[in-house]
Amino acid sequence: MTERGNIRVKSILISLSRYVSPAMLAAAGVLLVTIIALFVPPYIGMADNGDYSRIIYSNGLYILNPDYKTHFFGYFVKEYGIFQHFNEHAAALFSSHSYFIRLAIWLNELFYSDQLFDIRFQTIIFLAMYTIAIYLFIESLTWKIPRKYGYPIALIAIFIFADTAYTAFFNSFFSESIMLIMTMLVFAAGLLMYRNRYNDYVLMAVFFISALILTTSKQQNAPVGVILAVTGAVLVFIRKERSFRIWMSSILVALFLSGIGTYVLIPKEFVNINAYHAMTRGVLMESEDPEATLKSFGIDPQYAVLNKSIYFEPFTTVDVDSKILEDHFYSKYGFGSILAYYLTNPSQAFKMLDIAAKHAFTIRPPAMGNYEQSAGREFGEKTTFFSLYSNVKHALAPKTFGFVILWVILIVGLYMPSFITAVKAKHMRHIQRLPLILGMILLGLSGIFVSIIGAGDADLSKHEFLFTLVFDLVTFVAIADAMRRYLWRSDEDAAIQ
Amino acid sequence: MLFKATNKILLLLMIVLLVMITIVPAPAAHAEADKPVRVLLLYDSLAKGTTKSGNVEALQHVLAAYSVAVTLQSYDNYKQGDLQQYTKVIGIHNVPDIAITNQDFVRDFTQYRGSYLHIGTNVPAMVQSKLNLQTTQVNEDTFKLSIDDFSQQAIQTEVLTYITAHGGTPYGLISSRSGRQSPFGVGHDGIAYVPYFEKGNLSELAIGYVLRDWLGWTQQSNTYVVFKEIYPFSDLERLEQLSDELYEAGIPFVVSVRPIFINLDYPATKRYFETLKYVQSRNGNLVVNVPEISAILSPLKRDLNNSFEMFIDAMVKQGVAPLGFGAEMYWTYDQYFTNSGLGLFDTAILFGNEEIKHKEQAYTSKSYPSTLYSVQLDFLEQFEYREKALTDFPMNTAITFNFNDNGQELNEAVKWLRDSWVTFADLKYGDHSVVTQANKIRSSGGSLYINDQLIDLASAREEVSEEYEYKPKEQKSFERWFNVQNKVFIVIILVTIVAFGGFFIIGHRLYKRKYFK
Repeated sequence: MTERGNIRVKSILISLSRYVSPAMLAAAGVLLVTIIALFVPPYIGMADNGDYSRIIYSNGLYILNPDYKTHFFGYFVKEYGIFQHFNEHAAALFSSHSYFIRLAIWLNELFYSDQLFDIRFQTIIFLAMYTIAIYLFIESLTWKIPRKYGYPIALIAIFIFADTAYTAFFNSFFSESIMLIMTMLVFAAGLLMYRNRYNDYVLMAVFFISALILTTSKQQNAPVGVILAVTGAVLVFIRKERSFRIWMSSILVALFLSGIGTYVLIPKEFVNINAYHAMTRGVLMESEDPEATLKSFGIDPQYAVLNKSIYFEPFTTVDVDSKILEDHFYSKYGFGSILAYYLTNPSQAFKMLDIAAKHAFTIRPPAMGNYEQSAGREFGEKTTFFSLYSNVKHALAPKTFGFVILWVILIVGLYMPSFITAVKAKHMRHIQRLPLILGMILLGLSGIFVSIIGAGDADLSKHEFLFTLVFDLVTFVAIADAMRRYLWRSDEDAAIQ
Repeated sequence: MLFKATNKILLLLMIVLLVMITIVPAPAAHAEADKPVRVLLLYDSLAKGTTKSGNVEALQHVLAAYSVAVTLQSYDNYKQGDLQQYTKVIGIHNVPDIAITNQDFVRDFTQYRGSYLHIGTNVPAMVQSKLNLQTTQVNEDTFKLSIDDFSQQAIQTEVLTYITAHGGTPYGLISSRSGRQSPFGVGHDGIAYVPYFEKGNLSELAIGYVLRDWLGWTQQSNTYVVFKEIYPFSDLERLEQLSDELYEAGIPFVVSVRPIFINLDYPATKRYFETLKYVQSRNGNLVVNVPEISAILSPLKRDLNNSFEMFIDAMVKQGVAPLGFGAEMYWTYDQYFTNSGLGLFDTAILFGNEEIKHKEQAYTSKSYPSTLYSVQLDFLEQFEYREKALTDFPMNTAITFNFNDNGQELNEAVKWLRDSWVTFADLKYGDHSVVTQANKIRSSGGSLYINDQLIDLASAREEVSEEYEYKPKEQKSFERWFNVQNKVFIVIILVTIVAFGGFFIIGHRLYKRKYFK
């Protein structure tokens, strides 16, 4: 019976593989789960934390419900108004997210209404892109490998990446949805180049466009462009044609510049809140002597009274945008001087990193609810639908920075032998895998560093999305490589033709 | 047996009686005396985008100085019977030639017998007849307004009603370039009329004179000097210097100081309090400025009452006695703020609204027995006045300066104060009190009391110790054991490295001997 059963399973797999590749299975699975979560009532989405207005007004949308503010943090809202007159709201912040919102508005006007915007038109765009990203990502790992490895990898991918902690972002105006899709696309493009699947020029374009969108989706992502430009340097050499090398070099330079551009374009008002927290919830918080620390920055030691204060407190001593802070506080420090401070006070830096690590394994922000008010759920209630992975990760991951370091060492260690072999063989395509993975890890770590330097420990769980995502992507790739037996060694040349 | 039962009943009766005595409120007459006067303020339009914009708010600001509880309502929202609940009603008409269409109001108004003040156009027949008014309306005019010892030239307005004949008491004078003249307002027997009222010019002050009589306010008014925008991290040395300068010039003053709700035991906080104590010793009085509302929708729940109490108690501990609070006027129109936090005080300095951030907006204000109406110097500088006039404002007034680090501005303020002949009042000569659960602070006759103990204003400054443990030392267990263990490990590792090095050298030699003979 078992043998017959085995044969039957095998025959099903064989006939399945004729029509459905593992990549297709993963993409279809993620698509199906996400459609059920986001498009079947009760709809799952993300409540506004007050940030939406910054992005929606400049893109021609406005808040319909006069009681909207009572929904903050509590309920997901799916309908917004479309401005019918000239929109005087200047862009509050520069973000690639705007283009997706505008495309969604256009679709909405085409198929639904020119006055009422349903956020799910944006969701459709994101979901289509996410499905493609999943397909490419899984294809890079399962192409030309035995079915018995391919399908389990695809199932694990569904388990992790169809988790509603990730996909609920699609039903929101948070730029995390862009980060999710684009990071996956960048990684997938890199891995597909490593495996020499598809046309290199097409993959180069995917790599560039997704990296560019990722970098410019959020100010916090400014380092992404720089990191990918540096760790992607090996990509220049994977082909010998001059034209490819020129193209690849130019896009890496463009990415580098886009990172710097994103940093420069940070709007001022945004900086004040973060600058405030960078000092009060960062530099001062773990200092043994805040007054001495302030003096080292050339700030009046009396500002020690602000130690540990949070701007989001309902009542504060001073307005973060007040002149007294502009003149005597913010003007005395910046990203660079805080970085220098942490470098010269490593023990404090490690304490901050440990605090950061406490939130580094959370995907779903704990503050925001997932349901609409009409669904009759409690204020701020979160969904449990397809959330096993995110819940387990949140509950079980060791939340110390030491664990993050061990994880990095482990991953780098696992890929090192194949890297050394590739270097010896001067096989550029194979050499590329470790720098790519390292680049992804650095992307995640930059998320942590930037949050601490830029805003102390305030709002960490939302700022560390990039790390938690990269952790999942890289760990998943490592597990998949281990399953398909290509962890220690590079993929065979036979497969790379 | 029967005796016992009667005893029990008697005992029960006594208990019930005792409970009733404690529960039943004090006699109604007493409660009545403490109740503030209630005023219904009706308006037709807030007139946004016109010169009249903000006049409703300005009126609320002036009314607060007379300690009245104001209920703000538009004519559109008026409901039948509302008028009957008030004995004092004010109607502001900002839109000319449009009569009130709310029939409930029109009907109730014909029955209304209380005091009524009409401001603007569309004067009701009742007001016209009671004041024997005759008016004429002029489109666009430029006029001079004068009242008491103040006058302001060249005020421009769009539509102006001139009172050409009247009965009752006239207030101030409007004289136009074209030669027309009209009183600024007239009043008689609870009925008053003011044809022109805008925010930001002399009419804002002038209406104070009309209101004073209309409300029957008899208390003597005083003028105070107030400095605001004082933070724990302001230039404290400059603040002490300012106190010295004003003290030497014999000018009592008030500082509205920003509160801190955390780190109350930090040396920096103590230095702040020491400076405030110094200010107090130099004829300075203190009021607690309300905090900044940073995040209106903060998900964090905080009890403002509790926070204020903590701050005030910390001040008291260091001998600093605040007497009231300083806030933008809108704070008194917010149920959350007035119930939580502001309930500790009976004295308010109300600044003009700058940015309104309500938590629970209320349409009825909370009044404070002692309220100062705040004006900035540049407001007064629009007028011509005799210096003495500044002591004769109709309501308690605070001439307010920002304490900022622009040395020149501050020097100019001190110079202005020093050069003026105005006698500024000392807040602590009035009766003011602040009550927290732990402390009762009050002032009377120029003295300050904390829990009924007179405080010595000239008490010596205490040096604030710089020694402070910002981070509590972590509880360490087995510290010595781990120290020993560390040393043992260091030795083992060193030995291992040396041994490993030795083996490496030996191995290298063996290798060389084997292959390089």
